[in-house]
Amino acid sequence: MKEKKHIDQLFKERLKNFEATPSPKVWDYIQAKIKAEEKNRKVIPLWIKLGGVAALLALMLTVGNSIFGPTNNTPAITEEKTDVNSQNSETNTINIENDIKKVEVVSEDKNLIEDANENSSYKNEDIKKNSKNSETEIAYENDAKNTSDKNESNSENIIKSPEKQTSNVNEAVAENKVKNNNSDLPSNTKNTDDESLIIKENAIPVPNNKEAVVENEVIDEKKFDVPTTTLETDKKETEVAVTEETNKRSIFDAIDETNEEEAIVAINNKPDNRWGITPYVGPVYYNSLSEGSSIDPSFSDNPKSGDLNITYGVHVSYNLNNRLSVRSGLSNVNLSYSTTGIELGNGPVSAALKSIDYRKKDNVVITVDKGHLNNQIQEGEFGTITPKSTSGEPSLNQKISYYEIPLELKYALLNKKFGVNLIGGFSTLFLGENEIIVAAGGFNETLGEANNLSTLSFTTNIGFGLNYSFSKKLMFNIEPMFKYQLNPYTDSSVDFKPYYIGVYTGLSFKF
Amino acid sequence: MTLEELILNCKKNDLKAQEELYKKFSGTLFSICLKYSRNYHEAEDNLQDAFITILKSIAQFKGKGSFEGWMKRITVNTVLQKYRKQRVFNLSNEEQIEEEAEIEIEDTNIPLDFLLKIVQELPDRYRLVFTMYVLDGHPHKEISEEMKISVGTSKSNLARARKILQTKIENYNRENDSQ
Repeated sequence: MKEKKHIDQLFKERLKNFEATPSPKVWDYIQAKIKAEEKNRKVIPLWIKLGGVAALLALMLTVGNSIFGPTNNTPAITEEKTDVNSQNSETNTINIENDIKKVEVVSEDKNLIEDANENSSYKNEDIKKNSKNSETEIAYENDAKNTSDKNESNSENIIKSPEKQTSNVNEAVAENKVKNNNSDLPSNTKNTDDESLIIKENAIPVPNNKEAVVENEVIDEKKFDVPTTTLETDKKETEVAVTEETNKRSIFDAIDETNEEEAIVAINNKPDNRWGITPYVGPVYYNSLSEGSSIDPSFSDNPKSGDLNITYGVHVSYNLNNRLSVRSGLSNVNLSYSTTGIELGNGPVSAALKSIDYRKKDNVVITVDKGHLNNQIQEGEFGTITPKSTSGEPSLNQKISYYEIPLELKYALLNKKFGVNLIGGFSTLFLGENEIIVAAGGFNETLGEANNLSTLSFTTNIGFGLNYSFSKKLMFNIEPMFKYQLNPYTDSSVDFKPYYIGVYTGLSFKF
Repeated sequence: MTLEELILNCKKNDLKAQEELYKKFSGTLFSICLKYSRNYHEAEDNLQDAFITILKSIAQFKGKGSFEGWMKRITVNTVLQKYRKQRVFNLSNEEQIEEEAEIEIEDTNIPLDFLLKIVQELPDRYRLVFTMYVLDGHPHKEISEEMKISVGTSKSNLARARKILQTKIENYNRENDSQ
């Protein structure tokens, strides 16, 4: 039976809703493509994450380096190590307080150093090849020492071909954080033992590490002239590199293993007593990272020495969580340093140093570089300078007092009865009194105030803290901190880059 | 899984869900491809591309409207886009013809395969208009916007398509009649 239909209708009826099956290869193709895209998609956020972790760790490293460089405060991850730590830290804080010229820590533990010497020289041979590779090598070696059950995954991660220094180690960390669930405490103890030996021996003068930290915020070894009598040789420099690299590992281990411990032992995450008030006092040592002079460019090459002074104040802190707290406060910090290699004379103000506001307006004590006057009256464009005889070596002392308001973050690496923290942050400095004094033998005169000091300046701060909790409410802290001043002078041509190191000792009251 | 669950899991890039979605809808989507494409092989290519696009953009499906409709639109667009790139739609200087009065045809149980084949054999521009208008019910206005042609051209193309199909069917009928 034939039926006449509109052509549209015919097609509609038959083709509108039919289903057809494609061949299997279609789905295979789709699947393959999707998987490829997935992989690409995942890599990018992963790298962003790793980048973020890297940035955070780099920050903590710069903090940690200043800690782990001169001291042997290898993170005592396990509690068994805490007593060793506190003993060491005591030694170390004393060292920091002392004039950095003396490398006293070396003499403290002669035995350990001898052992460590062996260790580090052995390491040095391997390392001298290539500093980049050495990092991985050391990391590998360190890991190899550990018992296998924990750290097989570690070694694997670290042996991965290092394209970038930081990214490699960070990968390891990232992987560690994910994979490591078994902490074999005794083996860790062993590990830290070895590292601490090396670190102890490498008690390099603090400024080395700190400067590197400040200049780059990246672990870097730089040379600069700090008046120190160290056992400085090339070997030491390499060892700094070694130390720094091993430090990296140890810090990662520390962070990593403390994380593990938290996972294993369910710790109550909400800290009570979030607020704390800490009055503190401590010695401060002042110096500059660069050669110049803040008083006059002609004194750039003169011998200068930083003095030890005092700082006191109060911190107010708030615990953000179990490990991280933020703090501010107010303190007074007194800084001074002296310049020698000068001669004194008398003359008009116009011939005197330009950076000083003189108290007397007519005849003032003129300070010039040694050899300028030669015990003769100098007729200059500014006036006549008559040499002044003094009974002793004259020195020019600058004293500055600042009121400091810090803003810092404190991260607890170890949070038990003994605590170890990393501290970093900024301070705002308000200029208080300042004066420049000339002294020679019995003679002593205040020339006036420096006129090139900024009223408002800032510092970047890093350091670490050790504390002992007497109770939940009372804690004793000792915190060596390095603070680098950012804009101390109104005159940008001044080539003086001051910093100060203080050891802040205080008692925290928690409430 | 319900369709909602399927969609949700596909958004999470769950491979199993994706496969199930494919199994569920590939038949429908493939048939669309067949109607729009020149041949079976090209239809498969278009289905691949369309489904990948669907999986990639599934996150953007906010639940507004029919999911199946959404997928179908993507499929059709995939084909159209391909033809645009091939410049199938470039203006031709064809003379526009008038739509004829209803074309009627004898339905002698013509097999589906044949009907599909002759649609595929149509020149691209005619096929697309025919399929969109007749099989998918799009008005000429929409078709003209999609293909960047005038409504007049769309109507003309439809008329031409019908003519060709009519001829072919009549030939077919004639051939089969004689048997």
